[in-house]
Amino acid sequence: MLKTDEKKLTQESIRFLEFQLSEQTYAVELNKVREVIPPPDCTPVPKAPKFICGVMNLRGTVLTVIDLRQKMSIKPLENQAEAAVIIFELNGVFIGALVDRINKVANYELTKIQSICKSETDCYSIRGVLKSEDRITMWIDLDQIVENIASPANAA
Amino acid sequence: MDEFEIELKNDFLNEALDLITEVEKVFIQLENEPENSELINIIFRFAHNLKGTSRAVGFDQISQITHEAENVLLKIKNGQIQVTQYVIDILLQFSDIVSKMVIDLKLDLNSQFSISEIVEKLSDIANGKNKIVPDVQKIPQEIQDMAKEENVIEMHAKKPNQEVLKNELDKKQDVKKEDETIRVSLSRLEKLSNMTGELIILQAEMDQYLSTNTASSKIRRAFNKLCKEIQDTSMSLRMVPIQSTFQKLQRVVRDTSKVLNKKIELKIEGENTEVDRLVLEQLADPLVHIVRNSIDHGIELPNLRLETGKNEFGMLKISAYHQGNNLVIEVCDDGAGIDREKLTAIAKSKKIIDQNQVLSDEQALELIFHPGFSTKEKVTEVSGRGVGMDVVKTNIESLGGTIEISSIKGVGSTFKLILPLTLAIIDGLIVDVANQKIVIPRSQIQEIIKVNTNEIYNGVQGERFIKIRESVLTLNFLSDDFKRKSPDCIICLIIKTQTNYYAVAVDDISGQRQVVVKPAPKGSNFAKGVVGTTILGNGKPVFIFDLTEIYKKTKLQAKYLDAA
Repeated sequence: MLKTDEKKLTQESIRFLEFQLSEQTYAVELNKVREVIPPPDCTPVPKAPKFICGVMNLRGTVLTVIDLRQKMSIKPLENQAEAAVIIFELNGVFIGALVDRINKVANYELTKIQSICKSETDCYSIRGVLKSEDRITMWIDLDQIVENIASPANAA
Repeated sequence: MDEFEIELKNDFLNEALDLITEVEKVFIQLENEPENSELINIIFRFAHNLKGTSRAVGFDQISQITHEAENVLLKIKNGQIQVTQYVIDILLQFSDIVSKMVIDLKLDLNSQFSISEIVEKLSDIANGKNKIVPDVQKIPQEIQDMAKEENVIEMHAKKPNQEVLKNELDKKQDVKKEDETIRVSLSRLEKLSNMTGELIILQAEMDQYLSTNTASSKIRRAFNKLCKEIQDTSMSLRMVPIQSTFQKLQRVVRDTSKVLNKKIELKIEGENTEVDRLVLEQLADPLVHIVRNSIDHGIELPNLRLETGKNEFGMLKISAYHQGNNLVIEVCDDGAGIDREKLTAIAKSKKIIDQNQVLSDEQALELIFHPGFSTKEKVTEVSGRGVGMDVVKTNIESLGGTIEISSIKGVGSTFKLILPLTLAIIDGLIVDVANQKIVIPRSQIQEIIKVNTNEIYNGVQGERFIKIRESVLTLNFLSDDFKRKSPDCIICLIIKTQTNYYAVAVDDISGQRQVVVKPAPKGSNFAKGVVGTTILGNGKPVFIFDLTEIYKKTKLQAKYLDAA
């Protein structure tokens, strides 16, 4: 992982996909996004924690969908008409994330990206802050989130 | 090592492994037909090829020993060395060592090996220390010839004139008559079969939609047929012939019979029978065990065979064929057969069964699958340690297969393995639990019965039991696992594990069909017993549960009587 991160940082800017959880804007690196789909019909996962919506069928591949709002303890918007699932590919693993709204693709110069100190345990799922003229956007550390949904059945 | 070099080395290793398996049977054939110069030519080309490429990618040790082997082969080719048993043994050792090196190198590209022993043996043979004096005069000439040969090859590469090209093309066309193969990554195959699955779902929907329009019926039929064919083809892509595994068995037969001084005539049938590669991989070890057992315990020593009026050569037949959706492999010998009385006596002396227990013929035969059971008084290199047949049984059962034995004392024994053709498709029962559908492998279900709630007995610690034909079984509720409530009337699946029986309650049964097994994605196996997922005809993913896994800790050991 570290190696690819370093490579990215040598570039001038990074492209992000911005989306909304409740009123706040969040972003993830665009190169991890495979596609965006409307919320699918999910099959619930027995004994799973609440933030796991279930599993879905994406053209023959079964993948897990997580609710990013539940995961980050954010109250979802009342109007779910624009809710969407972003399909990510992380190290060959596909995973879907339910969000309130997709905003846009945005380019951030490296100077506008400020990473967050990783040692602070309370911000483990935020990787950094993206600054623009009128607001700031949270850069979500997806690998960290996915890493943390280790299943007890697997661990045993 | 940079990435390119690693890739180069890995490519070489894969190719080498293919070459080695291909050439193995030639080595064995050589033993039977030492005069056949074509066989020597094939092995020589193999060694020459391997030497060149291994040196090119920097595996000097492989190139060193193949160089020595090449020397031996060259002299055999020129009639300077006779093909004796010893020579063949050493050549086989050489092929073993090379294939081991290749496998080890695949795991660690920097592996080093001690090769001095085999190099010495090979060079001893090449130098005529195998009691045959080579014609020393001839050697320099040979080297010159070889050098010339290599030059010619180089020239071809540099100046491909029309004639040469045409010859090469002709040659290639000759080879092309056989079906050509290419290497494809398994993940790509999986992607194709995933998409095919989706195509079939869409096709079903489309079919329903179009059925209102009669004009389209011709297109519809053609389309449906095509879809079916695409599905069949995509499933068949992962199938490989069983040949490679049978080749390994030839070798096992040869080595084992030599150690035990037995004479074997091996017959192989159906080596082109196809089976899923993943099944085949897990089948090799159990088969080796069975074949070794047949030779060690089954087939008698030559003089004993002659005394009993049998042919000096023991007959061992290994055959494979398809039967419905199963692969059947039979290992059949004309040896002494299994002595049921002896088995029972040993089982008693080892306290596996009670002193006065009476066993049926089948039960007595089943004893050989008991862990720690061995009838051999003496532990040999080949068998007799009492590990083996129980492992064989477990392996076969974990593949979803069964093993049957039939044996007549003095006439011989047959081991029959019945296996699913693929692990990718299972026979599944679709059941409803807590408003959710799940799939349970049919092979785990012994029986399905309906039970009224007033027929459930409560234990003191919250356990529940049901009574079925004189047996009392523990009753487990799947919906407890889903943490949801079940309705009143229940349907019970009687689940059979290797050691026990118990009942599992479900809400309803929706059907039965063959399902394609897909892995459970990350973040979906929180519940015990989730072994995979599958996509139903409506496109919805559901979980496949291994019920023997969930209730492993069921305490009550039930004696279960068949419905018969």
